[in-house]
Amino acid sequence: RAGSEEQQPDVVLGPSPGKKARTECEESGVQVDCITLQEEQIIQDYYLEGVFSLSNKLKLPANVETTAITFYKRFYLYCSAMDYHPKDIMFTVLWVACKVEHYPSRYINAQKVVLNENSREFSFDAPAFADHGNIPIEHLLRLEQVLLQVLKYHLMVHHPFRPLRGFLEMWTKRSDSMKLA
Amino acid sequence: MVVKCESRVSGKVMVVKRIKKMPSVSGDASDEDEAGADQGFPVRYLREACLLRACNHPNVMKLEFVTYHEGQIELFSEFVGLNVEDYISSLSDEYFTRNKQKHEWVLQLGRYFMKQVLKGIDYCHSIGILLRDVKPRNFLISSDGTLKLTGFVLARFSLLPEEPLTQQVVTLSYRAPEIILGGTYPVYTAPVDIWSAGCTFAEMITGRTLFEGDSEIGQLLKIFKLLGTPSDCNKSFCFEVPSYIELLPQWQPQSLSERLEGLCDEGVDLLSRMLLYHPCSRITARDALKHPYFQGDHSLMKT
Repeated sequence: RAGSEEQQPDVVLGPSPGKKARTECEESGVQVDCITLQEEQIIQDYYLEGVFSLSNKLKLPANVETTAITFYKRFYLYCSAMDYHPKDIMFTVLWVACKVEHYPSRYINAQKVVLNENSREFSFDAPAFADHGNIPIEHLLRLEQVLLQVLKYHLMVHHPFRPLRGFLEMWTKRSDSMKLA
Repeated sequence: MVVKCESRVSGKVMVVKRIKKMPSVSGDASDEDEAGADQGFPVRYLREACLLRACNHPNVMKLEFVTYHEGQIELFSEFVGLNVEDYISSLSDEYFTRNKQKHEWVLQLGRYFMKQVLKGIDYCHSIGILLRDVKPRNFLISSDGTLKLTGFVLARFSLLPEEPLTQQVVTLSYRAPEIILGGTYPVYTAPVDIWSAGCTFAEMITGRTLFEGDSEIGQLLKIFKLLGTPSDCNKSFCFEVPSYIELLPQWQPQSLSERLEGLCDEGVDLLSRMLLYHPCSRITARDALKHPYFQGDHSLMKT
């Protein structure tokens, strides 16, 4: 079987909803009033705040949160907020970030996440996540596909926490050994 | 399913690992409680793709790209034909024992490949990847003699012993003693890869698996038989070891140079440093590359 080169998301998944609308408009010759770059920036920033508040609500650890934010920013380098609604992407980035950072660790807690407000507990899986984000599950999984394609599977995010933690660990070890000596 | 293919665009020959996503199986196939719901891209392959994508080194397998469409995942990586396990088994006994000239050849190749193995491991450790599945089968040899590491299914992005990890890693014959002894959730880190690399090294020289145990305890006995039962266990390992270890027979360490006939003294010294019990005193990949064994010109093009 002959392989194909790296496919753009368009090829695999069909054009995004925004692009579809755009081509339709172009074909019919209607002038559309698109949002400007500044407006788009405002929309993106608004929903970026949403990523923060959502991850706080779900009590996700800092590395998941920051990975999600990085994915969000990377995603909108390639795509426009007119193509994919930031509200949906907000949930998708958190979902993928949880997977990449393997949270919740299945060996420590039994993948239960407790929501603070009504202390509702749910096992960490796609339907529960989609339910919480109030988006249909097929939508979440489709967007996951889109997100992964757009990010080209560059999912490793090097956070400063890890070296910092290593440094602190070394530091405490050294001070311990100095005390002993 | 693994398929070989050729790109129409670049003409590059690639290997496609095609994974059909089962509708009921999610992240880790062993979990039954998660079955049922569609979890999107399976976590284990996502992790593999993520880690391979992060690597960029001549001695690490390059993942060209990934496609994911209608529940079918395809990982495209460069095509490398031979793995070290096949290479070892393709050599007859003659190469390891009888014929002196041929054995010399095996020793040279062993050094040549080992250097690349350690380079690859050093690179992975330097960017924070713990391989957890170092064995001859996961080393591929390309046609120009470059060795490439693969097998990132069990790999993990974390080198700090921050959380207990699972015990079910690394093929038993290459499993480091701290994983076997550590109980259900042992704490281990980078030195486990060095232990496995040491076992691989010995295998490349002798043609036989160094420690071939049939069970965990059998594996431990094999290790102790060659390297000696540690007299003070809590000192030899950096953690509490299970008490049954005291019941094991007390063996004296045997000489590695006898086991690895023909290997020069530097090589034996390197191997003994790679197979130390205490994970912290075990040599690191970077120090191993500076070992006298690898110094000097060892290119294969001499003759």
